[in-house]
Amino acid sequence: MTTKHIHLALTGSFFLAACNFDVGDLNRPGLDQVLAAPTPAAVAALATGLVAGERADIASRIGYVSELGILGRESLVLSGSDDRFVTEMLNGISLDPSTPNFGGNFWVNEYANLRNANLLLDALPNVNGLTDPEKESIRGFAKTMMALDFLKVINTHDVNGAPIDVDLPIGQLAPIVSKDAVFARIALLLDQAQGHLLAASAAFPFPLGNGFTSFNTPALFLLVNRAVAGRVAVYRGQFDSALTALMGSFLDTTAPLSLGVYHSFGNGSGDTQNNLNTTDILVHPSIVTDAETLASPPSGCSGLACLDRRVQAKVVAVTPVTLYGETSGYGFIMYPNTDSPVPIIRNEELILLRAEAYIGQGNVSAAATDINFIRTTSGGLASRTDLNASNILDELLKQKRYSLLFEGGHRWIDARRYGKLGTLPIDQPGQRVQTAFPIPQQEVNARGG
Amino acid sequence: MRVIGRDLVAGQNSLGAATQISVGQHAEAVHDRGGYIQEDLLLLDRKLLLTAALRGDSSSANGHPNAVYLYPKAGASYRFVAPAPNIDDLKLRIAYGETGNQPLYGQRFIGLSVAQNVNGNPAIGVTGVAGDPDIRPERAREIEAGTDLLLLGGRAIVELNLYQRTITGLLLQRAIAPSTGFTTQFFNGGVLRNRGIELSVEGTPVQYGNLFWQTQVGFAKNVSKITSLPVPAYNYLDFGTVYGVHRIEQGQSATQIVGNDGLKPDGTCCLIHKLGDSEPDFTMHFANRIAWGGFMLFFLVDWQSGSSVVNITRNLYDSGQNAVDQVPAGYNRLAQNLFTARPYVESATFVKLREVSLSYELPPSALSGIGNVAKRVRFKVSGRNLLTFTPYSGMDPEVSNFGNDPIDRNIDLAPFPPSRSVWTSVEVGFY
Repeated sequence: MTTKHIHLALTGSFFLAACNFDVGDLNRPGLDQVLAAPTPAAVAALATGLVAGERADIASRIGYVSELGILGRESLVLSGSDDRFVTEMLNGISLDPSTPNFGGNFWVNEYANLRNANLLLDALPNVNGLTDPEKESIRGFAKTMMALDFLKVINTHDVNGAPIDVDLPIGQLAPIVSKDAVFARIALLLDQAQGHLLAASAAFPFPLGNGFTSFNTPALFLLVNRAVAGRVAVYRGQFDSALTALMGSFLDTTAPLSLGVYHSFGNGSGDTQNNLNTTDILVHPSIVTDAETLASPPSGCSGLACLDRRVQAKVVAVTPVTLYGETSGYGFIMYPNTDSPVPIIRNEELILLRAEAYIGQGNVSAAATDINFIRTTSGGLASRTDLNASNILDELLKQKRYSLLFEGGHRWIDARRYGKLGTLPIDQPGQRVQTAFPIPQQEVNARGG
Repeated sequence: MRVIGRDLVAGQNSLGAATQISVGQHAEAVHDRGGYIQEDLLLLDRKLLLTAALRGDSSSANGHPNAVYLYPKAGASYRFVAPAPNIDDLKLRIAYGETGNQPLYGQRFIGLSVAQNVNGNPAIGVTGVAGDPDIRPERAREIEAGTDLLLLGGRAIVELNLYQRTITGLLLQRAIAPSTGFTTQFFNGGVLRNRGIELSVEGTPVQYGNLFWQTQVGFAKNVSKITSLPVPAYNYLDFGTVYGVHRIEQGQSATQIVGNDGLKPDGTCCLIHKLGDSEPDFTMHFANRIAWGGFMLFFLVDWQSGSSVVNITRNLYDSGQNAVDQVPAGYNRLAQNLFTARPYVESATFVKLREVSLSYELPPSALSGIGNVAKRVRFKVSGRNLLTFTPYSGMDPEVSNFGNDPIDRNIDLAPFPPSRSVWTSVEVGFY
């Protein structure tokens, strides 16, 4: 066969003379730049970012206050758009590690904030324009916030443990360690933070926001650090060091019980709102039925008006809602607005923590004094004169239940610590009290499990 | 740039009337450079076509913006003219090509979010999404062989295509351990192999007087498999295995759907098994065009067999106690859903009358009646998505909650379904 036609086409173009035509990130500061050459403003924004991260999963239906409230039978979420607040959290055989907003919760935000805190700590040595005492103040603040993040993780995951040495390059994984090891790390961070705050400048070089108004200098923030240390020591059953820490905190029976530090929220653009004021968040009915009557109830009172002042201040009757077999006719009025603050730790808890530490030491009379102080001052109830070694723990847990109602899962955490989850009410046959959140499925998968 | 205003003053629709305004600005710039060289040869009495080309690309979207990535391709085809009775033309072709799919802008950066503040104080922090500073284009190598047949004097055309496309350095957004502070990371990893067959038969079975019927039948089947994955298998962040999620796993289909499937031996939730695949076993289409005089009828029927959909919309109805079969089926599904996702993973098999149109064009004699002002007048009625036959309980089995994602499709959480539309039109041509 002969070739009759040959078409030949040749096209080509040649690369322009090599010049660097790189394009950087036009939208955001890069992690590496912040780490290598941080400015005082970037460091301040990172520190404020820790405040933002701390509140990130607090104040919504799927947040810490709401979900731990459900597990501890403080609250209910009866929502037509999502049944898992009942089907998984109350009816579930166990919490499901693969639902990010339920069984897989309280992990992602906490570890993101820990990454931020480690980034801040790693960047601090490289920043020009801050004095060493100012850097110490930031270290003290950051490590206290890290302790709070780890505390949220271990309060929710308990015996399942958690990784702690997470300041690693992306892709490297810290081993999951036991609950005791996590608590030891929390205590260590708090003590290190104490040292940093003692060596710190007079003022923080960044604004802490409205939640820290009463404790916005390193010297005052040290009182907060010791308050958290007191809570952690009580959780660890180390009652002597708990009392020492509480002595260095802002515990004060002459100060308002509300004195403390708060997660603050706001309506400004870019701020986070408190979304706990929705009609599908309801009060578990046992809160009302278990409440005591006032020492001197108003004459002719009925219903809530006769009860514990704390219940009156936090709970209101609403049109009863029944869904998935759960019924409640009470709503919360503690967070009426989208900028209502949520306590991180406050004076009333510290007094109760002190009572708990006294109980742990076997000092019933000192504990009874603090418990009766809360009963009368906060609850408007009569003092109890019958408290003794066998009934004082239950009385303490009851006061904690009402004083710290719907503020961050205290009832669930406290009942678990004393093996008393079985005393929480079961509303329907087959329900159970979940004991801990599982390690999230995504974490398990990434570890090859 | 986008602006979101919330809590507007009642009745107002100006952003200025909003209580809370948030502004987002997003800028992208990508510098690309490329060059190619190609040579075509038509030989042997125009029967043999040979093609070869080489392409080189570099882009600032890559982790190394000055690196040049080369993609060769080559092809050959040979035509046999009238090789046998009733076969007018037979073409055999084979081709090999490599192409690159470059990363999107920003996938190489690890940026800090600047969107938050606390009481007006600026805050920065990680976003949960990590980039990869070494990210590079994914490379697809495709080998394709096929034949085209022209039969019966042009009244039938058969096309057959076999292909294997292997993508290496697959660009993925993998889920990583959240204890790192990040939930996902862009990276090049894994090898995805697609093998498929496409067959198309087009014919004119009836051509009698002014009656004319043309039909085309197409068949396609694709099988994908992740043949290698350098990281542990991971799930897409859909809505949890409680309903069913996509999972990238070595040795499995790239579009498999896994979900909760019974309790673990220790009584906790849950074993996770493959429950479906969003890729169909096969798809077919039937297109028909029937003309008679000035009338023309066109209809297209699509058939998809064996795909699965995660129907979370159904769970919404069930948990809202509002399903049409709430008692007892809806409650049963909810009860089962405590330990299995099976009630909400459904078959997406369907047969659809995708498109129908009927038109009538006026004959020239009628046009002369209106003074030949118009050269053409055509009346047409057409409809889309008129009929669907499917066991799927939701609105439409063709759903994608996450937009046009190649893998993360077939998740149904109250999306806007494809609409049914009917159109009438009059077309008048003046020249």
